[in-house]
Amino acid sequence: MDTIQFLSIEGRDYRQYNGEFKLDLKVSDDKNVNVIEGQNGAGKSNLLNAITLCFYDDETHIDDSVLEADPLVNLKRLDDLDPGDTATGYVSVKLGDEKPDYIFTREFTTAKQPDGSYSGSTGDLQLKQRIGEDMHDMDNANAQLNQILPTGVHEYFLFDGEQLDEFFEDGYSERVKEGILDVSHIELLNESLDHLEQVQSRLEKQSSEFEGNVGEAEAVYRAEKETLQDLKSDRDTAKTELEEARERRDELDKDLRQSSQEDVREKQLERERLRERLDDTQEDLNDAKQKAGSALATAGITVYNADALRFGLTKLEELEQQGELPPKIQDWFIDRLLERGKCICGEDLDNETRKENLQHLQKEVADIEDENIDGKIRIPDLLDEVDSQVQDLLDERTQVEELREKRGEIQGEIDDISAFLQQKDTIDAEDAAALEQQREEVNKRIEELSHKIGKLEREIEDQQDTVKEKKAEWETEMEKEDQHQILLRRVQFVEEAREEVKTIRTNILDQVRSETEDRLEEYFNELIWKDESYEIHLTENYEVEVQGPTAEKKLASLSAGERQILALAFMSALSRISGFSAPIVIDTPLGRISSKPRKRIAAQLPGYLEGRQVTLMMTDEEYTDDVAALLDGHIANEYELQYNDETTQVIPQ
Amino acid sequence: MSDTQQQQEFEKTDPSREIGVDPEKHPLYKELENNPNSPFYEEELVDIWLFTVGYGRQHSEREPLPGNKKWMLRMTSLDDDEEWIVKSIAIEETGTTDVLQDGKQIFTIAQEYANSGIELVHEEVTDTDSDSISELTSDVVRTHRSQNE
Repeated sequence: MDTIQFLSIEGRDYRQYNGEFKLDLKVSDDKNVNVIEGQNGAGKSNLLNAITLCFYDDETHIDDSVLEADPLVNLKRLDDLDPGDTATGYVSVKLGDEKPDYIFTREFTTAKQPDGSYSGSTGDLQLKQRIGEDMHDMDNANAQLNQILPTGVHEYFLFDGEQLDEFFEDGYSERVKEGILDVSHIELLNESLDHLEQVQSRLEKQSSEFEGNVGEAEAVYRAEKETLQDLKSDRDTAKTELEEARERRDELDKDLRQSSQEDVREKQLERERLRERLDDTQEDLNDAKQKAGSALATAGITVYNADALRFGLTKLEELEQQGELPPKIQDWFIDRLLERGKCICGEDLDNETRKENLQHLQKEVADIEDENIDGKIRIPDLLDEVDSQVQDLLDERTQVEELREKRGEIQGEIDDISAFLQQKDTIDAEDAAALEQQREEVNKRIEELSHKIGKLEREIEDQQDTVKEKKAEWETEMEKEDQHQILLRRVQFVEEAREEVKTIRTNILDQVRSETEDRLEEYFNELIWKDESYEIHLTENYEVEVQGPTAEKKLASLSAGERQILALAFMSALSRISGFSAPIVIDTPLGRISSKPRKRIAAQLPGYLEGRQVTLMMTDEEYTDDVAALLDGHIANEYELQYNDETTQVIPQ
Repeated sequence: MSDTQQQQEFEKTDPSREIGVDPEKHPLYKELENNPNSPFYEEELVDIWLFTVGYGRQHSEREPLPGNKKWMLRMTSLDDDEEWIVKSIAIEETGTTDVLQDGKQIFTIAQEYANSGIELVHEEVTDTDSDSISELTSDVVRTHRSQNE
């Protein structure tokens, strides 16, 4: 294997790992898979956390807030401490090809407080790097790591399979977009754009001191730009707040789902099902409204002008009756007469004058009558369509009304659930009522913020037009004086440079989006257990559309397993196109997947991650005999994590 | 139709290459096109314009445009059928097919109807108290019935 791999993960006294622990993970080309098996709670996720703690000082894969508050140093070790004492542990990851080229280490310390509680801290990232045959301490650990596995893309290499199912939940397109931005390496272009924008503003501001109207025009233009900036900043703040509110609602939903009372749990699950139906209905309603809008435009245009069309037709017919609008003489008919050299009356057309007359007639017909004749033909066709257009419009409106009614009914059921939960204010259930009350408030906030963002987006669009207009006015003033030409040219040059950089950035993003789309489709079809073939489209808005053999499958209608495979395919696509051939670690890759697809994934995964080290951490339920048999030829190292007496032992298999 | 209209002489002109609107009303079109709450969300701008022409004809009067028009649509956006709608409006307005040779006049008439229509349509669409799809649909159906009575 000529790409970099994790040669080992080792450490001391990290969470449930008491004392020293080490897992050798070196793989080869044909055996590129490590398997680490352990029951829930045995410490698999914490191995992933050990890597991210070491590299980024962050335990990315902890979702349990209680555990997060726990000390980093192993509790058994801390039991031996007296209040005021401290204990230290470390995590170390060796990276390289054959021999370690880099050893990254981070120490952590936990202090036992006099009241028995703990406080902790982590040290800086340390690096030993191979130079020749020897390992040397280096100063630039973070920079070196960023070259191997940048912070922005590490989650496409080190990820939790169980969280994959959530990847395609509400707001996923933002996550898809972020992923694509992460692997596009466009930071430099963004920095260039910021820099050029500053340079342009600085240059433009130089004109504020100019005499005449230039200074004034610059001040107006600058003020409008500042307004635009304020609007964008308000929008971004609102978006962040919206994201936070949605996360809060998810947390509240989770709490209600895990309520100690069965009826609360059931109601919450029922609400989530209704929510999905509501989303589907809303989507259908949006489609229906769009169709009704088109039908309205089509019918409206014809109906509102039908009187004029009839009048116009009457006038053209009058012309015809007056002999001013001859029947349409087909060009081909005159052509044939000319070809034959004979008129239909039998006269030869050898006489030049007759021939010229006919040619002249042909030209006249084309030039004058054609147009009016065209109207005489088109207007009746247009009028013929009115009745059916009006009927289509009525049908589409009925469809909209029915879907609105359906949406209202579903919303009513959701409201009933909400009312039920809010009334659960008996002593036993007061938590449910309080949670529901909070949820209501968060929901209102989400609605307000969504509305505010929409309004700001429209204001931004208008303000962009205003800025453009004021800029043009400033430029016009600048153009008036020869002495301002040089500054104006410089501004225009910087602006052109900005446009060029923007174009490059757009092209890169389009290319990465298109590559992601191709890989996503390829991997999804390889991994999905169905024999059907799916087309996957990644839209410009970073929305994923899955087209089955007969119909489009909405993401909400995909099963949890299908969504997980889609997310797994997406992560794999990003890690593949990121340009970093870093090792991949997946915690519980097959957690929510049933037996048939599980086998398919086990069979496919080593293949399409060929040439890379893949470390899979699985429960005994995931790592079935079938899966083990399929992975068998690819496995380089296998470990079992045994958790007894609050301590994890690493047992090589 | 007045005698003046009947006797009106038309110049032979080509229409402008673009359809113009009052610059102050241009954002109203953009809102009809880009606001997800508009029944014309993501419709072709040319269709929205033609709708406002018709709506203006039925519910208002021609309203001349200011001198500084904002060019909104290329004339080529109109297909042949749509062009005949615009031409028929000009024939109806002037009472004669002679207007057909005056391309500028044909489109001036339509632009002036759109100029009054856009405000009314926009008002209807942005009126939060009414359901604009239903209201506009009812209006189209009513107009259709009255024309067939």
